[in-house]
Amino acid sequence: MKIENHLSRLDESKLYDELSRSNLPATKRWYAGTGALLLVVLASVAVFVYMMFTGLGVTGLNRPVMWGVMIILFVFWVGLSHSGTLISAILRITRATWRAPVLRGAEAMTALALMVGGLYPLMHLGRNWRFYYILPYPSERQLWPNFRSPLLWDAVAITTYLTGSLLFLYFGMIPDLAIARDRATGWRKKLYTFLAAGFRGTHEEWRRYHVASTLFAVIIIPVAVSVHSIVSWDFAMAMVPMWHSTIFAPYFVAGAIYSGIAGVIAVMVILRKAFRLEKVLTPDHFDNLGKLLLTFTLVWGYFYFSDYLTAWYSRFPEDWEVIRSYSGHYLPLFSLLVACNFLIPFPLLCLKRVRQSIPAMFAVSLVVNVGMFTERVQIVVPSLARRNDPSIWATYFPTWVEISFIIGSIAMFALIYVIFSKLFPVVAISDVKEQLFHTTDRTIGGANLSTVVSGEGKEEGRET
Amino acid sequence: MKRRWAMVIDMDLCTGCGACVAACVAENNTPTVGESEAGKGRLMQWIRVVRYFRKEEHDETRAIYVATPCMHCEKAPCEIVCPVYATYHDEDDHVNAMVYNRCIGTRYCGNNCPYSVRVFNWWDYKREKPLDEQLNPDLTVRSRGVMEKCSYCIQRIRRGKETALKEDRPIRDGEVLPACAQTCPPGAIRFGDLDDPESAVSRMMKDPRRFRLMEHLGTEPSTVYLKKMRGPGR
Amino acid sequence: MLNRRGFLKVGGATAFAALFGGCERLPKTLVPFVVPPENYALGESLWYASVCRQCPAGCGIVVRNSEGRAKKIEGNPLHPVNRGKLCARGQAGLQALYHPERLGKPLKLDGPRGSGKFREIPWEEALRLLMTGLASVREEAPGSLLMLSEPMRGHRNLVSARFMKAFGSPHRVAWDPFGQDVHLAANEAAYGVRDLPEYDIAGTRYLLSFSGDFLETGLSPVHFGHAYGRMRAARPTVRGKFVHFGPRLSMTAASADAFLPVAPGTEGFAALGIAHVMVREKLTPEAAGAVGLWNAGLKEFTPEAAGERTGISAADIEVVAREFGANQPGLAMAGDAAASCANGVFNLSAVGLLNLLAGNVGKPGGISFPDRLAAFRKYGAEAKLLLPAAESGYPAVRDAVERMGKGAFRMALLSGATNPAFTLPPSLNFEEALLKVPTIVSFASFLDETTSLSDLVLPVPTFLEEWGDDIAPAGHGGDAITLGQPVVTPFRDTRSMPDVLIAAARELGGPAAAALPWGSFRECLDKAYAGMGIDLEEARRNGGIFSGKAGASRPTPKAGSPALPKAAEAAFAGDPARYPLVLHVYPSIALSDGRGANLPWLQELPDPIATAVWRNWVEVGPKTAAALALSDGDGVTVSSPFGSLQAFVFVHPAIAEGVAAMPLGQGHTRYGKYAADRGGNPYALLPASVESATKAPARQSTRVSLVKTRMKGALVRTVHPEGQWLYENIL
Repeated sequence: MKIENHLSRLDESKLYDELSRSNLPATKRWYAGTGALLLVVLASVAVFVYMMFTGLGVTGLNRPVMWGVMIILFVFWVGLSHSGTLISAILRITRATWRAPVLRGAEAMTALALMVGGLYPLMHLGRNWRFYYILPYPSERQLWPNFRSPLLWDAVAITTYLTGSLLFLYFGMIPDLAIARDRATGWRKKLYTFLAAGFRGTHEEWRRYHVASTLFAVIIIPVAVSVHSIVSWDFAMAMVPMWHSTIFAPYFVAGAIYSGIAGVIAVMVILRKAFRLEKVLTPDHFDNLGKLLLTFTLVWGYFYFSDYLTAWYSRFPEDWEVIRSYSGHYLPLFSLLVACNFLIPFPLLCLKRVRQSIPAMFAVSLVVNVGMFTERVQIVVPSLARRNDPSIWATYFPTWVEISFIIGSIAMFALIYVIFSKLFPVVAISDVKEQLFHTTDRTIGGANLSTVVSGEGKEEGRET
Repeated sequence: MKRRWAMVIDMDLCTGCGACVAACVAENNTPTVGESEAGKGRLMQWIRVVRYFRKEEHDETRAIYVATPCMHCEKAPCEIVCPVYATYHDEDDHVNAMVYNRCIGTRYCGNNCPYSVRVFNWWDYKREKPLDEQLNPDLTVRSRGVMEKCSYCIQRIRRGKETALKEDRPIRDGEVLPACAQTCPPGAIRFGDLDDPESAVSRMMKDPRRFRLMEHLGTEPSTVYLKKMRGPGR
Repeated sequence: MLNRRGFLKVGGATAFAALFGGCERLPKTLVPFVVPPENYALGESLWYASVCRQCPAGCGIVVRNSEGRAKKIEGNPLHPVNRGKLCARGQAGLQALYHPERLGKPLKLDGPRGSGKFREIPWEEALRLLMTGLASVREEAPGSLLMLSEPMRGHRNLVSARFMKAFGSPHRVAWDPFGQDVHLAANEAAYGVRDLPEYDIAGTRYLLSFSGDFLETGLSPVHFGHAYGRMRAARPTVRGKFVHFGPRLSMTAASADAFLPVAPGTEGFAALGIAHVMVREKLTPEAAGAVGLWNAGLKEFTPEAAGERTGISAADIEVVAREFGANQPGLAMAGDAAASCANGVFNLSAVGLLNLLAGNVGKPGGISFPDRLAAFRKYGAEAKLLLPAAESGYPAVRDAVERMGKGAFRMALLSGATNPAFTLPPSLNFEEALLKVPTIVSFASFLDETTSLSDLVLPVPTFLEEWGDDIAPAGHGGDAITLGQPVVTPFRDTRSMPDVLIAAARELGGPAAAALPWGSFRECLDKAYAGMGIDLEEARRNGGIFSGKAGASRPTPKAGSPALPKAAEAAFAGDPARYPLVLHVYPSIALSDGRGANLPWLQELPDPIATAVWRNWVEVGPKTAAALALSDGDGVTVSSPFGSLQAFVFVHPAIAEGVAAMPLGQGHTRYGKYAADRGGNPYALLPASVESATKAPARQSTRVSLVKTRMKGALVRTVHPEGQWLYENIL
């Protein structure tokens, strides 16, 4: 990247224009695309209403496979939601400076994926209209929900995480909303004014902002870890073979972060293309995300292997039947899982060439997401289909209803994301500016280096 | 008055005839689901008679029948996972009770039962008139979205207790029987009160043939089995 | 739940409405009565005792009636046959009562003959049509009236018999595919008594069963099931041993301690092999004294010879024989599959020989022949009508079909559930012959394959809605007469067949009216029992007259001198090259001969061996399947020289090789939506062959071929085919 074109050379308004391209007024194409997504989402809602009035028999569920695609979607989307937490919180705490352009997109992903995922525990209920029995409201019969049930912990955890991540997203956006407010007109100005809550960029406000962000980052990490641990305990606390494993909590958290990073990569590639953020999201960013993804390929692979190894070695009869099915009826699923989650990403991500190639990273991230979805399927279905009592073993295959929920969830996520990115700055402008602020140019020998000043005043060089 | 109801199924007597299944269906308003739903693994029968094949000496194959109602576990895995307390352990009768109108249908209990004795109402099952005239008024017809399972014919237990109370006498052993135990021709299913030391089930509990299904899971079922025996010689 | 006497006391003695003309609708309001009927209390149930007619066993039942509806059928604890127990078919009787396709009004043919298209007509018109027909037949050719029914017992049989006799027609045919002709003939040959014995299973120490699926179907499965339970558990130190010989591991064989697969039709040789060892080694006093038997030819039937014919090893035969001898009292039973071969009498006589050599006739743990009609001796010759010999009626049916074809009958009265159009071999062309009869009247609750061929259908009440009496063919010592009563008010516009015959006789006048001199069938019953010196109300409350004192045993003149039965081989139609497998058909526990197929509870009852529901299947052994390149679940076309059908394969791990087995009962084309189109009808594969001595139907007399065929759908099995081998996993 030539020095002249570097972002730091741009003046503020040009910089803002570069970064907020997504917020330009909606085009016909945007409306068409969003309209199509909306149709898909509405169709999915209609299918749900049909299911609610007809009964869960329209799905492929049966005895013993009483949980299927809807729970898989729940775990998958909640897993995807760990993207933002990791990127923002963990990267913030470890001061990974390259996180800046990715921040907002990832945080948005967290909140929105959680919104989508959180629907499924409500959708998969047999009597959805009585969902409020799970809430601790004062009732005349003095009935409380059962706090010993992992599903109740789920409800608490998801609610907490959703609230937390929405707040995290919102607080992080306040300076950017302020900038947007200053430049906007019409109804947008009203909206941004309301949301910016009077942020003026004073020193005191910035100081508070940094304290709040850091605090949030620190707090949201245990919440995220606990959320997916609790989701994992829906399975691990059960008496189902291959579910009842102590490794499930770290395994699920690792898997969630893994799928989250892959999700962030995919979303970032799309945003970069759609809003021409090439200057902001550089191959270096994808390189770093790729390294993170590689780390978690290894972490996930390690946990998965440990889980499988211990179960395989001890040969508990009920576990053994499930494991045997991995090389039998469920061999295709198992193979797809191992290939997409490890065999393909691991060698590829070791190569810098792959990591710095945006199309390649996009492909790898999709492969990982497919792999993680398959992993959820492989956790839920074979264990139930080949469980303790062999006489009632069955198979499970989703029906059109459940397939439409899969498509609908992706469409819903995309829809909300598209609307979010249209309304709100999808790149964390103030963070980017902050990074840029610490960047200067240096000439060292014959090279022009754009160097970054870290918080402690150290300089790190990076070739441009 | 507290009781500990228990069921003893003598596998040496069970012939696999399925009379218990039909009796249970008649007593408990169980819907018939049809061939297509049965093919999807959605039979609604609360008790099932499972026929296993075993290879025995001389490489011969033999069949053995395991009549599987709800185990009414003392440490029921289904009870702790229900988020709304739709299933709980009844303190007066020591049975695992199911409250249909509290169930919101998460099906976690069904997943957590290692014996897979719980069934779920996938639809609002229609009972063609006038077959619905046969429905037992002592218990509900469940709507779609709720779990159900064998209740040890709790409606009969209640009636038995009320009658005994009305007549100011204890319940006699064998007076209160679930439909399956009442109809079983070889008398393989026995039912009674473990708190009554003279009851048949109390005696049978001491039988060295007694075992529980999946005993290592620690669920402490109240439905126990007596091992099937094989005659001596060839 | 009260004890045995208690809940019968709560019940009323009689149903609470007059029978005749009962077409009251079911009460639909919450508190329907301003003046409630007697014995009615809201929220309380009444229990009515009656008799079950879901199979010929005749178990006693008590039925819970709650606000006018029948809710639950239980066994009558006072009844000696079933002692408070009841099988799945008995439980399903409620679905026959409340069946949506039950006939509620008389039907007149409204289309081409045999089409099954009807329109409803009022009873007056129906009875007019009936009477016109009967009157003209009686006037012109009374002998051209045919009555073709299910075998009847009790006073309804008496009424039918008297009617036909007084009418002037000898053509009263009762068809039961599972009649006991061969048993009767074999018992006469072996013991000298042409009757069915009591088998003291509960008291025996060694039970030999030859293709007898007595715990599932047959003469009295609940009785035998209960007795089996007592055999195993009622004696503190004796469990008994049960050895089953047969072509396949049936549900009954699964309870055996030893199952020895024998080729179909060779049961007699297996029995003679055992007899040979018993006499050779003098294992019992009777065997020691059977020198004459030995010299008459028993010495030829060595275990090796028996082994060759049957497929079991000689060593096994010797072991069983020695155990049988050493564990007396021993008991030998033979079942329908051994009887319904061309050599059925031989098979059963050979089995009977084992009882003679065990010396168990008339002894505890053995067989005995009680006089089951002791209570009715006062009727003289007509007593036999109350408990006729449980024959199939096959020769009479064939004769009737031939006559029908020749136009010998002007009118046919059909009744019962044995459905000849479904259960007779296709080569008899029953339907074609029947349609040659100008007027066909059926008494029926359902339109099945036979009743659909009628010109006029008169709806009858189900067994839960009518008066009657019964003497069970097995399970008591002559000390039990079962009394039936309506447990609900009949809620369809139905009239029972005896009532219609009585009314018809009255209208016909003359000898007919004289023969049936009552106002109604109930009056006939009341009068019949009035003279017996019992409290009829109390008896009806109890479900019957149970004296508790067994009648005297009938003498068995041949028991002391066992004779060697004349050996005969089974015969199987079809060239073995073209039809490589022997077909073994058996009644299914849920559907019995096919009558249960319209009841959803029975269709959804998993078969005890195949665990299949709602459809039938064909069983072959693993080696046979491999040789034919068939896998579990494949579709095949099963063809015999007489017919073919499609079915799914169930690879049965314990069936004699070279045998294809199919359950009977599915394959209905008419009989309602629960029964229709659930597979092919195996009866249609069968030849019209007969057992050589009795001319009873020889169902096990054909070979079949299995050819892989693409079929839509799959057999629904409720136990996973892989999981079914993993019993240890649930321990």
